[in-house]
Amino acid sequence: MSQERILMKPESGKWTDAYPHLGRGPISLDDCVSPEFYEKEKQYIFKKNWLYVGRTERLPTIGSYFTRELEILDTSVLVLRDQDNNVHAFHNMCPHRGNKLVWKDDPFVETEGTSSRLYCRFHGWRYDLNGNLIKPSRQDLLLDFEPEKCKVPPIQCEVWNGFIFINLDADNKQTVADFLGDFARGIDGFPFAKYSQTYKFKAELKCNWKIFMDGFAESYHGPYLHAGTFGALSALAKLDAPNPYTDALGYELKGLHRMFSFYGEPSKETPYSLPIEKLLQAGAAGPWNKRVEPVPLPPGLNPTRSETYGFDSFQFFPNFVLIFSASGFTTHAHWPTGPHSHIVEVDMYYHPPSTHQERIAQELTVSYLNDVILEDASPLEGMQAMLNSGAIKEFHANDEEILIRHLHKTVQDYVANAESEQNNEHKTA
Amino acid sequence: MQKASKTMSTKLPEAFQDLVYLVDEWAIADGHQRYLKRVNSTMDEMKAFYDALFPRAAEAIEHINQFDYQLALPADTENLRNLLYSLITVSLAVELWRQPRVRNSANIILTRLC
Ligand code: FES
Ligand SMILES: [Fe+2]
Repeated sequence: MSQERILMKPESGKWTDAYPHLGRGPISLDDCVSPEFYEKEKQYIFKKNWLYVGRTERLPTIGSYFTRELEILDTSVLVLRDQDNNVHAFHNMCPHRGNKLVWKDDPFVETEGTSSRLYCRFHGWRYDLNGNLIKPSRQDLLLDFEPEKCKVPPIQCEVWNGFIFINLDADNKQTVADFLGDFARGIDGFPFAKYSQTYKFKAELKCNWKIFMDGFAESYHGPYLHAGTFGALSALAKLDAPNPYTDALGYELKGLHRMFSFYGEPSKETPYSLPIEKLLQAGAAGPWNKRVEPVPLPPGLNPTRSETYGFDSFQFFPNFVLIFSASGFTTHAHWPTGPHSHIVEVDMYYHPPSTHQERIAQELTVSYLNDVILEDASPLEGMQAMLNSGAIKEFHANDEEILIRHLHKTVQDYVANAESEQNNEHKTA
Repeated sequence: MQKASKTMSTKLPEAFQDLVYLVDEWAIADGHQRYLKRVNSTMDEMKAFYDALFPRAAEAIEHINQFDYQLALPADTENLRNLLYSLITVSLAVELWRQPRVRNSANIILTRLC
């Protein structure tokens, strides 16, 4: 008989006890400071793993495309939908002499559009949507030329539930679904496409990418950093005791990935509600009249089967965060731009409103979250500057910070393993 | 007496003519531009806008909500809706932070793309 598995805290009372290999002591913070470590992260992690670059809604028709300027990959990526409705990714360059292929006005600004062919402005060579050369200009001038060797350089690309992933490692043999593993199996089939109302934000912050991921990997900071925004939580935090609102319902680690499940009662009026919230009957967590979805959740959501369940946040290795809530789902992608800077992209996918009133209430939710994210970001640049001072070499993580411990250990171990493999290859060669 | 329609502005629906003076400055269609307007305004400027519009907001929502969401709003009603969007942006500065920017956020803002 199959029995449903429910995520439970170890009897010892500490989540960390479920993962003996994780360690319990201080953790090196060199991975957020050292420029050498950043170069290794780039080489061994970002250029070798599946990376989320956008959803298929950005490619509505045959010939739809968008470009991604991703410094950490040392390339520009062209993502498009071909004649057969398949999604492909390419290095955004013309194989004639290497001109950057798709851009408007400024080669370093991302662009999007629709086109039935790829056309290089330098000498007018044309390619089809699979990257094959259709026609060079001035065929009378060609010398020993083999058209089949002149293709727009491809990048591995796969779609999982509408999420487009790329992998720069041409030798990669693993599918995205396999890479994302059990967590992905648990949320497979969620009706992502239904949440078609999108709000997108981005910012470049002067801190390492992992430091902002850490900020979304615990809710322990809630009553302190968000004292002004989440009044009810702060009142309880003074007790210095377990906090039913901010202690996670559950934490789970699976291989390179991690998740936590979090409290969230239906959005409603509280003594702390603002006049604008009362006017619009909505707050940061959505409309107050919100009803629970009638459809059963996929088994991987609400893994503790809690009545007070509100959010699940999955952090997929290396830099992709997928958060489920009653409003829909939100993605965060953290793109390093240097050892001490990164771009964060926050995309919210909500229920499409059916009335103007609903749309206006949603505007409050989105505006509120914008400000909460800025509050989350507020300590980070000062923090990075102090980490750079070198005055401390390690940081401390408690049991509610288990995901942060896991993120840094995973990144550090991954780099160390890849490096030693590389060294062994050199020795045997 | 003159007919109201002769002197009426087309910028806002008839019932909201007293708010027409807010339109040029605060009826901002683009979300990112609304946020920029907030961080580049003084609290006095935002308080004046908030105090003028907030008491009329419930009535404005009711008016806008009569229109089918699937169809484009008439231009005057769209202005009214954009005023409400600005009210939302500004209300967090007025009611929550009591300053234009999020507390302790220095000069960081998010760029809103859509
Ligand atoms: S570089 Fe593209 S046609 Fe010459
Ligand atoms: Fe937070």
